[in-house]
Amino acid sequence: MIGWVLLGAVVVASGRLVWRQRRAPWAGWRLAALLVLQAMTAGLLWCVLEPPRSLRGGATLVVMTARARGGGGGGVRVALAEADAPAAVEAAPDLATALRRHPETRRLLVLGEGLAARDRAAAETLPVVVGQVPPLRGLVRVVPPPQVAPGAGFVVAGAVAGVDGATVELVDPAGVSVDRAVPGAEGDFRVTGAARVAGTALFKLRVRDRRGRVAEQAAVPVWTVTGVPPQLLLIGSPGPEAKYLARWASDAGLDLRADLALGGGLAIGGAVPVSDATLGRADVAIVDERRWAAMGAGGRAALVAAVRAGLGLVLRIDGPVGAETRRQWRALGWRIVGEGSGAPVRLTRYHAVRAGPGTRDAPTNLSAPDRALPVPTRWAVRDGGGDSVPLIRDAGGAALVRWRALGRGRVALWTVADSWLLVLAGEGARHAEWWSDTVAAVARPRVEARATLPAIARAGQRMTMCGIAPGARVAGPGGAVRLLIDPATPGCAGYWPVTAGWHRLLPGGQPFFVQPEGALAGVAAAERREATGALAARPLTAAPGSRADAPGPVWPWFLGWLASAALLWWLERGRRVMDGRL
Amino acid sequence: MTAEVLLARWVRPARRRAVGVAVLGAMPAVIAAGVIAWRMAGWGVAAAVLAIGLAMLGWWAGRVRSLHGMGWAARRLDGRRDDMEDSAGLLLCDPAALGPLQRLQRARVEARLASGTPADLCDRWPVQRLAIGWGVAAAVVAVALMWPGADRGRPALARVTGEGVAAPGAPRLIGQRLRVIPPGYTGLAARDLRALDARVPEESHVAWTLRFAPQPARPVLSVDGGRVIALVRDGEGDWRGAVRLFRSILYRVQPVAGTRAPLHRLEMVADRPPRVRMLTPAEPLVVARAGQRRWALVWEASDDHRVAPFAELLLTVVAGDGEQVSVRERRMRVAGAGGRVRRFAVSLDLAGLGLSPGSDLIARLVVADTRPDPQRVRAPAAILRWPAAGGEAMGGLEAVTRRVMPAYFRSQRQIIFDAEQLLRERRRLASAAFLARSDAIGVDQRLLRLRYGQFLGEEAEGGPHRPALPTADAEPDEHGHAEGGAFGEAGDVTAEYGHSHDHAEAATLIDPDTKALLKQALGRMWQSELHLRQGEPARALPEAYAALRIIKQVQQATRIFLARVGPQLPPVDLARRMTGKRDGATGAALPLAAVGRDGLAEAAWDDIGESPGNLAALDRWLRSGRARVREPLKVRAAIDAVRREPGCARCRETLRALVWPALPRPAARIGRRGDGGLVGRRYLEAIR
Repeated sequence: MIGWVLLGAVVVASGRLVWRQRRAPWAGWRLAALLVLQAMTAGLLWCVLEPPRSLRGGATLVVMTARARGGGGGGVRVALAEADAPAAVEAAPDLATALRRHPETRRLLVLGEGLAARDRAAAETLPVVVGQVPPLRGLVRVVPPPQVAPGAGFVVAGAVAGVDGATVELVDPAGVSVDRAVPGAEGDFRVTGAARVAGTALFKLRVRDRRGRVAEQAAVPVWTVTGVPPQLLLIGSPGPEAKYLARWASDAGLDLRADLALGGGLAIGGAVPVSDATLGRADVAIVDERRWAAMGAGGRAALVAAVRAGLGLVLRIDGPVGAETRRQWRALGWRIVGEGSGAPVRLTRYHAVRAGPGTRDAPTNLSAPDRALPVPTRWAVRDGGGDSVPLIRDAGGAALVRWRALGRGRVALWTVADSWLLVLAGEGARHAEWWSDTVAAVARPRVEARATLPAIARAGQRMTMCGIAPGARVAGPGGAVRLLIDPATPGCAGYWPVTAGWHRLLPGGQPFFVQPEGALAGVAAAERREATGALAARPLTAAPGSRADAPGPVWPWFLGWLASAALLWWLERGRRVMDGRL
Repeated sequence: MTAEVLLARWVRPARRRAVGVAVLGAMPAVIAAGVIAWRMAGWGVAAAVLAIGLAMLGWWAGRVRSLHGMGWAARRLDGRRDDMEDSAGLLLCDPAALGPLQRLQRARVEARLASGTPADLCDRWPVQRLAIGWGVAAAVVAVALMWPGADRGRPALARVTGEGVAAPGAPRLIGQRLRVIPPGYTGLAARDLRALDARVPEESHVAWTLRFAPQPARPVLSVDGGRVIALVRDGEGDWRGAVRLFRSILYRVQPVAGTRAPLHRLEMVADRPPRVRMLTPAEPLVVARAGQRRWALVWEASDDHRVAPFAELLLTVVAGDGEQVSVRERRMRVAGAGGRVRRFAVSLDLAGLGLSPGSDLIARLVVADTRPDPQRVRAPAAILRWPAAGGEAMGGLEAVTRRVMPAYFRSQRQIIFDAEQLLRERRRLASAAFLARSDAIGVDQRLLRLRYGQFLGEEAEGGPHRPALPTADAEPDEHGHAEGGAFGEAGDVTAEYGHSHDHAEAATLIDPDTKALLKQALGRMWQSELHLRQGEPARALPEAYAALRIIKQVQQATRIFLARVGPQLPPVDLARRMTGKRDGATGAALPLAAVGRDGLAEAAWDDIGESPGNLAALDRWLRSGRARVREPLKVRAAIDAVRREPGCARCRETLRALVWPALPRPAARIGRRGDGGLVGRRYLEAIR
């Protein structure tokens, strides 16, 4: 606007000069000088009124974050709160403050572990370059299990970096190491544990170096919660596999509808009609290949339709699979290879503690000599489409159970021929774990009203909670806090835990664990590094320099305008004097 | 050789002897003084005393040495030898300064000195005096070492941590020591502990020494369960208490009554009975070889402390067959070799034991540990069988059947013999031994009664109820038994006692008369057993005789068929078989009784969660008997710690760690997956 006004003024003034020239001609140079000076004065005035961003364009701000060392070349250098920089370096509590102090900044060079969450918003508009990055050490990624069902197994995955010859142990709340893993080449590891009754429990991850010393230890919160048991249709033929499957299902509290055909219209458990109504109510159906073949085209179509609508289907193989069934299963994505089962399932021994204390009738004897592990066999199956998810693997890495999505439901293929051997050999807990994992993976989804919380919460660090009701509170060791829902993001609120330990989200009592402040330092560093890297890698949509909030200094422009206006005045005055003389 | 040199040769041994006597004589005094100083004032003072003693000894030795000079030698020579003619002193004088007569005499003495040995000049060893000196010193040292009441060897009182905070000015525990003296038979040494928690052997003597500041009026140790151990103040201002431990206890140190101090745990480690293993023979039943004269037996016994050096070997020689069995018993003492693990080896002379073809020799070893009331353990019996002469000619089947152990139980006649024998020996036996033997005969009577009871289907004694057979037939009403059928019908007997749906051969058939007799016999055996087990064989005898008489009648009266053992399959309904008829056949429900959720355990685990609860649910679970906690005392101490300080996160963590191993692991349940919300559903539907 101002620019247009000034431009208009320049045009009008120039026109007036030219028109004046026609009436009383001047020396050519004077006219030219006046015209140039007018434009220049207007331009300088515009710069006074709307000062451009900076005189020193393209300045780089070197930001030192945690574990930053020197280097990074010239430029203004600031040390953020978490950096332990020498005293000579200018200290800033956060990046936004540093940018306010240095409005000329056009680029950020980040040294050290990276920008903390509080600084990332401030860096949004500037191009970021990552400089020196310290190597990571200890646990750099931990994925604690989400809620676990009672008695079920769970997996703690993660990665370790910078520990020579590391081994990772999972330690149960009693201090017994229940699983041990050696991280792979990338440092990835996976340890498994088993939950017990409903409630919260704190396991520990312990990283040991080559000499067996503890390099790092971190708490792994495990929340065990009993969900709504699914309805299970067990459609098949009688046999040990079906018997022990039914045994587990009833022990696990599933709503079991068994239909084990004896032939001649007789069935153990009572016949279950394969109809839309039955399948619509059920959550999982376990069908063996004989019943699949005997079901008829209509039954199979109903079953597949029910799966597309959300039913979970587990296909089980009890005997040789006919050519027709093979073709039909091929359409579902499973390819049965060869005849018969024969490949052994290789098992590793679990720590005896994992089986729990046992019952009064069958107590677990921890001091008993190890029993021989059973060797069940499996059917050779190939993934026809290549898009299935392996769910259970044996010690040799062969997938025993795979599943794939089909519409809203899922279809799993159980390839173990005789998993009941596990129960007879005293490995009943493993049998239950396998079936629990399989059924849980495919069962009809069920939306339970739970808040979405970050996987790892830390004391002294803000966390966001979503899916919470108005009036929710958090009860922790330090007392209860009411949550304020941000109107901009419905259902979400921020919470700033102060003390470490178990907290509960009320009402409902969903627990979450807050890690102590210094815990999982490697994970936090990896997070910062990753987020800073993402900042550096993002395409910058806004052009650099579009920051309107940091105008440059006005005074040089003002002086220039004053000088040019004075010169203009002098030249104009000289003409007037000349006019007077004429 | 000059005279001086000659004389020096004479002096040297004597001087050495004198110094030796002085040193040996004074040494015991120095040693004794050192030991006394060590017992009274410790190592530093003892070292100083020893150093001073040795210095004085050195000075004395030097003085003795200087006293035994040339002059002494000349005097001694004059005294000892007549041929010196009191002129040995001339040898010390310069010959030039002597008169001619003196010179002559000197030469004579010098010549005479060449004869004789220098050792003659030595004093004798004063053996008697030295022995007395050393003996007295040894006695003093022994007394000093064994002087009682000296507390020097024990560690000082340990400093106390974690006993909680007391109000200002209130008495507080500041020093502690626990002395554990295990019972003598364990052979374990007494030990001093710095902590108040300990695991101690059974029946140990446990003594506390506690120090409080400021001094309390009447501090006590209050044992969980209401008992109180009083503390007595000793001369040094410490408080002492002692107790003999017969069970594990939890206790608190209470300077002032009612203080809620932390619980301490004295866990009693029970003495285990010895374990016996038979090394030779490897099998319990051995068939004698032809011409075997001796039978070697070796057992190995081990104990957590010590095995008694002698074990008792019970030998039973059984001869005869059927009711004509004669039994002779002998007892032997067997000495074992070794310490913690002892081997008992014995070689039995078969002829000496009166073993003849067709008889068995049963050997059982009874091993005891060294407790005052020994724990006795009986090793599994080893049986040597001497086959009867005609036994081999029975064909191939014999090889299988002969080596199988028969069930050893005594006949009714034998029980009567035993009881009469016991009555005869009554005067010689202690009442406890008499009762034990009577009880043993009662056990035999019981076995016999159960054996005969089998013929009656064992239903009279609440034997195991036979479960319903898993048939697919619809159940008829209560097996359709004719209640109280007429006596004398064999089929009715089966129905009444057998509850069997199977065919006749699988049941035990007894005709009614025999059955009545058997019931009478069983009744008599009951009475006999009752009295025997109460230690009254005299009252048992008439009943036993009556039972024997009835059994004989049974034997004469009838034959008894025993049940064959085999799979108990439901009978095949031949009328319906292969006809394709399925009338009445129904699909069975799955016979599954689900193992329910353990609500108590869940509540208990929740109770020790993050919120400070009062642990009532945990108490309920522990009391329910379902919690299989390995260290109950530890758990109780941890519960107490949590109750004392509800805010103590570490105490809660400790309790959780103790309870976790006992938490049941239910059959793996199902966690339900989410569907990814609206976006997830749409996505899944779009990719079909």
